[in-house]
Amino acid sequence: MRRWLAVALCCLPPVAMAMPTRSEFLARAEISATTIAPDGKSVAWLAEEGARRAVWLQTLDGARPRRAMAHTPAQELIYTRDGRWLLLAAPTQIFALAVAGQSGSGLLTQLEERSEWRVDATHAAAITVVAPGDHSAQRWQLKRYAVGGEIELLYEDTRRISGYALASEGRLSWLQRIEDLALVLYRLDSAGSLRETLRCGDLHRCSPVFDDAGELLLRSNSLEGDALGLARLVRIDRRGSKTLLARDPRGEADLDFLAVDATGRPRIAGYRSTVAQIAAIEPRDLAAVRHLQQAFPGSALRPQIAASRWLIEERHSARQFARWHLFDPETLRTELLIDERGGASPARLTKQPYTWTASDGMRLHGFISVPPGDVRTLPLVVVAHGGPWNLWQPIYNGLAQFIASRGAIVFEPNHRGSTGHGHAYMVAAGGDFGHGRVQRDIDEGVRSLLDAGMGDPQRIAIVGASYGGYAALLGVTFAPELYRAAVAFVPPPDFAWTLEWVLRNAESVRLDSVVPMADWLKMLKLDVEDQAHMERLRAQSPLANVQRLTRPVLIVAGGSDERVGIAGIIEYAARAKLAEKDVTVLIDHGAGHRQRDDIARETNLFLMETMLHRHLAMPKPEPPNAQVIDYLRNLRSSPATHRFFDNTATAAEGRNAPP
Amino acid sequence: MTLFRAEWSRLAMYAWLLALAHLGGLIFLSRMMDLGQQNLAVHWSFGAVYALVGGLSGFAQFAIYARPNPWLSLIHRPRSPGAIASSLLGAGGVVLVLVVALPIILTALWQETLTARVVDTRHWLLALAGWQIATCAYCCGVFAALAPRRYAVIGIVLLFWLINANATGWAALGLQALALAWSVWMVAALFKANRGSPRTAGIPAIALPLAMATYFLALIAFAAIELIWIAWGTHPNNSVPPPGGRIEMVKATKQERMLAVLAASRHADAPLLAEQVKLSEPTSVGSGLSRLPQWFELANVRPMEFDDQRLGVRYVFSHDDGQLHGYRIRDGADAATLSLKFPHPPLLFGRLPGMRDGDAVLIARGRVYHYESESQQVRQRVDLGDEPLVSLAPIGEAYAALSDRALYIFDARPFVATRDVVAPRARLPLPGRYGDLSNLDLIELVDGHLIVATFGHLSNDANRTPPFQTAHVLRSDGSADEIGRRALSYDHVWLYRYQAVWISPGLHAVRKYAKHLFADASTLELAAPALAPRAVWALAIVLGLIATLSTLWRLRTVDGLRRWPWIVASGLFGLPMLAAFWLIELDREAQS
Repeated sequence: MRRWLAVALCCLPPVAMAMPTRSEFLARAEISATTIAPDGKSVAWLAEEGARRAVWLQTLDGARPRRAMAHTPAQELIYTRDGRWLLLAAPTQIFALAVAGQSGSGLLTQLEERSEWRVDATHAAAITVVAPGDHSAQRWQLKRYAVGGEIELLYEDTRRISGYALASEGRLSWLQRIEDLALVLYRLDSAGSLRETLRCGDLHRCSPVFDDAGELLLRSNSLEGDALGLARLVRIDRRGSKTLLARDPRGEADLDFLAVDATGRPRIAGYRSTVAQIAAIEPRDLAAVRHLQQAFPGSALRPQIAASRWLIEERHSARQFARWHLFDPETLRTELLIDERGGASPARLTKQPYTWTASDGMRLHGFISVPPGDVRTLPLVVVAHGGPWNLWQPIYNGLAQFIASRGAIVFEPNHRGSTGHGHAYMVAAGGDFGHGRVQRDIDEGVRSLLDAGMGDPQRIAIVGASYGGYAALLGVTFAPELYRAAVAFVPPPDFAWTLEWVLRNAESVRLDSVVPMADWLKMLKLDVEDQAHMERLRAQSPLANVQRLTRPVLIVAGGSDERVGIAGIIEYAARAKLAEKDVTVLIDHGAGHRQRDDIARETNLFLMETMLHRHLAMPKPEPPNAQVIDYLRNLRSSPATHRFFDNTATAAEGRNAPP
Repeated sequence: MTLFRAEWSRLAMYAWLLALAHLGGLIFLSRMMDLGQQNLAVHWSFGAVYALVGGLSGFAQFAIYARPNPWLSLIHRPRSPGAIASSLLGAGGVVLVLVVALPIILTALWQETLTARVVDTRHWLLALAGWQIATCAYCCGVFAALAPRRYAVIGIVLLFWLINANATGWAALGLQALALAWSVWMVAALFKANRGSPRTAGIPAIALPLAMATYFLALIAFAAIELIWIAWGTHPNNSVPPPGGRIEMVKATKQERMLAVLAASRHADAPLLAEQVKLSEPTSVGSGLSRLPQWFELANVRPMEFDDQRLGVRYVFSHDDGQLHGYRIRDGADAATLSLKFPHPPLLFGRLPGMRDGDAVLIARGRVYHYESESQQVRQRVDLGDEPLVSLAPIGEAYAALSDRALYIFDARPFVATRDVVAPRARLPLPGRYGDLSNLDLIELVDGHLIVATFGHLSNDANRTPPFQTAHVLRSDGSADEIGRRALSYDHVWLYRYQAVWISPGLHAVRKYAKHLFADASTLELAAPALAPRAVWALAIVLGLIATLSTLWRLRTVDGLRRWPWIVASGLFGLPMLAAFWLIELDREAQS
């Protein structure tokens, strides 16, 4: 396959393309969420309007859209089952907006940290919320909040409630709670007694999705009957027998999402780890799904199912913004509803799945984006993902597209340890996140591309953010023969220390998604109390090996980073300074782990572009604007920064270089 | 009794008017705020007004008698001077009961019976405190009316003593009683026909405050010189400070302070740490607390209350039962009383991770409590025993707590994930006394924190330590290493720094003793004073000898009984006592 790919791609004629500006890649989506009423007769969306976010409504009878609320902090919106209320969900509250001409709009409930909510599909207008009952989560409660003010405690437990399903009459019928690091699934009889049905330990999931007349549809990634442990939809009948309902037809990807109808019944399964695809769960939807796949080839679709119409979200790896379509499953007619930015959204490169075999024989997945030109002479840039328990998906990646737009092949590896490819894939890392197995996966992926004739072996760089930044530092430290330079955003230079640091801080409580983070790490073979393992990771860290560094490094960090302690980056910079290494560090002391400021994001692109220009002979960056220069002036920087900016000052049309 | 009644009837109208005005003022202010929970500055303001009223009353009452003829007719009544003084001063005292104490009692009674506000025993005692202050000032006013003009105002020294003293609660009442007794003694010394010549038994009552007043005048003169120096523009505080000195470090940025001590260090890690400091944004740990709350204190370090905005409830601490009592902010109605009995009076300050709307942090000496609005419970989260905490604040993602003895580092996670008492991860004993601590700056390291302490707070004061800096690495496992230590130079010459000592070592000691009389030792003020240079003592001895010999020479013809106390006092208290001697004995000698 690799050979075929190289042959196919090397013959692409060079196409003269105007290099898009940095700011083009930073444009934010104007539509942040959409929803369709259960009867399919209206849609609503959240629109970013400058500094504010507004709620828009449109009835699908030919009426024009109208602004239903001028300002909302909501990030999601969804209709109640009866379609008379639009629920606007912000991280700290849910607001019910009357949309059927009735009165009574108002706050439905406040949300505490670690609260999880969903629309109650068994009730006309209500939500269910699981939340800690007190400050330190000694009690967990499942409550129903009906629009109008009625609150009903459905269940309370001293153990964390991690999942549930309601019978059609609204009674709690299935409960999942955490017991000794395992997820334990219970069936509840009408008297409320618990009967254990399933126990999922060791990072396996068995999340209840829907009570189908006493039988449970659940999401599972157990290894039972599935060597890869792919996340899939399974039915458990009353006798406890399991039937597979949905699994990636390609056998590569976890179940990514389920599209449910107004009753909460899952109808369509979506997969987005290698090739984006959707699959019908019930025969009645087969034709519709087949039609959608054919109508939108290569796109990642996400349907919302209503009675008469479906709302289809369409994303594509080459398109910066989503489009929304209305789809009639009866007539199979599709109608474009919202095309954000319309034709102004520039088409980028389509990323392609790429598979390689690691030296230990494991098949690994990733993506490549190949710009026009002779692929054998193009620079190659590895963009490692963060996490590391995360993945690159076949959807738009602004960073990869930006680099590709500058003429480099971009490789997005999903090394082992990544999510989305099954339980076995994720745990295969075995905690070897130093100069070890995981990093070798990336290096071997690069070598397989070179073997396939893709990329100039003398012009390879590695970039990434968070764990991706760590991988970039590992790459230039231990494989300088492969990588000419590294750009690392918010990288932990010592992964072991960063884990210990996070576990000491409040951020780890936010990361306690199902089980406490320390136990979760232990199951991933990253026991922070295993001093021998931690010492090994430390000894293999970029921080402990600054002396080995022979390639230039650019690091951009946030001084208020809650995930990656800035102290590690500062010590790395200090050691590099004393060892006279070419390491440039820029710290925005007000920034956290995620950089949300547009000027800062543009600056990051400019810095990376400068680095790639200097060390991979990629195109010279367009000079930074005044705002970027001002921003750069206010960053705290390592002494090597002066050297880094020597040329930038010239590029900035005679402006003074930042300090 | 006749004289008392006559004097009372002369003053009654004035007393009732003032009492009504006072009561009206208290009622008005009580509508605006809970007066019992106001801080020390508010109490001082009230005390100052009471002292002013008392002082002016005393002066006005006796200014009429102080003229020669009325005085002679008063003092030559067929009664002893003591009985006359008792009647007149007694009437003045009763006036002040009416003017000062009664309105306070009536206001407290109103608050106690008709509102949900907390009225403790200490609030009732404010009536006594107010009366003692007013009456002391009253006697000082009387003294000012009766005494020769050259030392008429020395009563103010007693009032300054009350402001400056550290005693609280019952001890403060005792101190006020002592000051009151002293002021009565001063008046008694002059309550005789010839007011220019105090009674021999009363001379100490006048001499010591007079010497102290002279001593303060000398210090004020130094302060005036310093003002001129500042205006001139060459004072270290207001110009470029001398290099290597304390003021330079006080004016420096956190980063500069940290780099200065690392630059002077020969430790192998110092260069690496310095590079890290250059890239870091150091944090400072400090406190605005000058003292801790004491049981049954009359005033408050800070208001002893906090609001739960979520529930609309204000909680007020009661010294009588050690609990927090709530009342509704909206209508003042009674709300819940929290069950916890605090071992020490708590103060509201600091911040803990995981706090929600309405939550609060209360610190009672070494114990930190989290008030949870949702459960309306108070949970203990930190226990440092008897080490008083003065600061609790986030430093990056961790938390730092500063006591008067050590700096503690806490992980944030246990505060959010558990309800238990959280133990500190690491402790660094302060490398000096808390009272000398000027700045505590730190940065986070991969393995712990770099902590730079600058000592030298008020190091121009003779009671403080010579300024210095230290740098320590406090590791996550609790171990610590000193990385550097740097002595800072003084910014002023010894003549300036030890002015309070060499002018009169005796009065300096009396002043310190008087300040701490009856008071619990405040650990926040503990300092490690430097030994004064020999030159200071030499100068003090020379000045003491001059004072002694001058007194000796002046009294060479006077008999021993009058002579030796003055000579000894001049030896002990130096030139200020010589000045007191001249001012007091001037008339006595003229008379003799």
